[in-house]
Amino acid sequence: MAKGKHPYHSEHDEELMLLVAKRDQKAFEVLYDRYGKLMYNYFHRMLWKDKEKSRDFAQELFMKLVNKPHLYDPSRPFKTWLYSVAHNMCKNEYAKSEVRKVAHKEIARDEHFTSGAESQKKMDRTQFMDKLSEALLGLDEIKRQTFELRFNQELSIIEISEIMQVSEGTVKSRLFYILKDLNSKLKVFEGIAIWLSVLIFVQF
Amino acid sequence: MKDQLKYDPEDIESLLLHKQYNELFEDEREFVLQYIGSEEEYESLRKTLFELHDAPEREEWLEPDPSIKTALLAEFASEEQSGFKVWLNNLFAGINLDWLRRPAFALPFATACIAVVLVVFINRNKEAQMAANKDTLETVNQSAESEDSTIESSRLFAENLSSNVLPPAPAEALVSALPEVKTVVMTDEVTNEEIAESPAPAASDSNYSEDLSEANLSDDFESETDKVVSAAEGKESVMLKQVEVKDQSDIPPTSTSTKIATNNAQMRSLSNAESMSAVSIEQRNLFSETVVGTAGAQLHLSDPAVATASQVRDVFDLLFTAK
Repeated sequence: MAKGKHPYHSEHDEELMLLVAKRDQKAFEVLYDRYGKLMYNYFHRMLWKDKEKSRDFAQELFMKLVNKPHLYDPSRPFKTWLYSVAHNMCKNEYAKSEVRKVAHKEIARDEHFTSGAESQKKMDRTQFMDKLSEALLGLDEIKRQTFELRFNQELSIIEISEIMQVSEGTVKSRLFYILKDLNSKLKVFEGIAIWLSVLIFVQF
Repeated sequence: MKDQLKYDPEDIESLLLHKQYNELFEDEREFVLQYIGSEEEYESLRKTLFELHDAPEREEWLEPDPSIKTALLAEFASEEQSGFKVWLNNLFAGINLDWLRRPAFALPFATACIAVVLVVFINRNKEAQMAANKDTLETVNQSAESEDSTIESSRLFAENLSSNVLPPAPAEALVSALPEVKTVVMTDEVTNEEIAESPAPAASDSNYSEDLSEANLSDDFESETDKVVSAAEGKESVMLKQVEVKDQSDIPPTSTSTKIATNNAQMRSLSNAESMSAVSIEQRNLFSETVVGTAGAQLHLSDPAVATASQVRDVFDLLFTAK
């Protein structure tokens, strides 16, 4: 066991979760430190970059760990289980706010334009990402979630298939069609992307 | 080499990531061209894919609000203070009960719970009802025992009464016990001289069979009265015997209410008999006094020696009228 500032830092997620079920507060703190930021950003991207909503959803997700730790299936990896819960929360929110979706899109676009105007350097760096975000907002919820889990949360195909409860082939197929769709939308920025790649290469 | 040629349609991503178009084998190229139109598109997709994989590094990651962690830890501490929940959660902590958390188990389990509750509730009601019935039965038995004791005491009281009290003497018995009225036929008017001259009639004379002297008449009335009284007493004794027979044997062993009714009827008859006997004795005494007094007074007013046949008839009429 590696000696860290916290005795639980070397423990696996599953072991920590079992300790949380036994009301171990330190184990819960370690789990939150590992996944708090990830889940907050996941909700932020999946819920139209709504910070308030992302904050509420992240808190609600971890509240489930506090109040209903028995819901965790020890036979499953904790990371997959946690993303499954978050994925289902997002699906429920999509169903609830189907009508409000357009309004959220508009808010997200406004935020991007505001943030893009902060500085020229930041605008150059984030221009591709802004365009990517806009392109992602044009995708349906399933494709967006698949993209988020694969390219932002960097989960494996197997993990995504467990979280979304589909086959690995379905995940791969979805990813391919997402790629084709985004490629057609991002062609305009192809030159910018190349330029950014060169810039990053020069910096190194 | 053969393994590399076995591709699934979903494996294009790995080809894009690992190989340029000109690096693809012939089989791979045939496979890729089923889904991608041209070499240019393949290269474009490849660049986009790299961009997307690099996106998280360029993506600005937000830091979550520290208040989230504070609120969660506070909630955790409050949950920890709840001993019951901790105990309940730890009860099955080591056992995997996920197979129980299914609708297929939940509905039959809920049905079984409801059935058990209903059975217990119904049995409780039955027990209470049986206990109430038992109490009622005990009360009825106690009341029946008290009624039996009352009947027994009434019977004893009736036996005592029947042995000590005279039975009633009805008026019909008195009437029937009276001797037959003797008629005296007066054939001729007689004068005082003829009466004085003629000797006293014989006892066998049918036309004049009664001695009408004052002493004889008085004795005759007294004897008649005694006969009536004795006859009445004879009748009463017979009736008393009948009542006794009824008291001892004629009470049928029926229900409690019938026994009580019979006993009450017997009690009433006995009290009536007592009162009737007292009344009849009094009437008898009055009757005898009246008859004797009236006849005596009638006879004392007139001289027996000069009493005519009409006077004698008046006396008898008076006697029967008084009766």
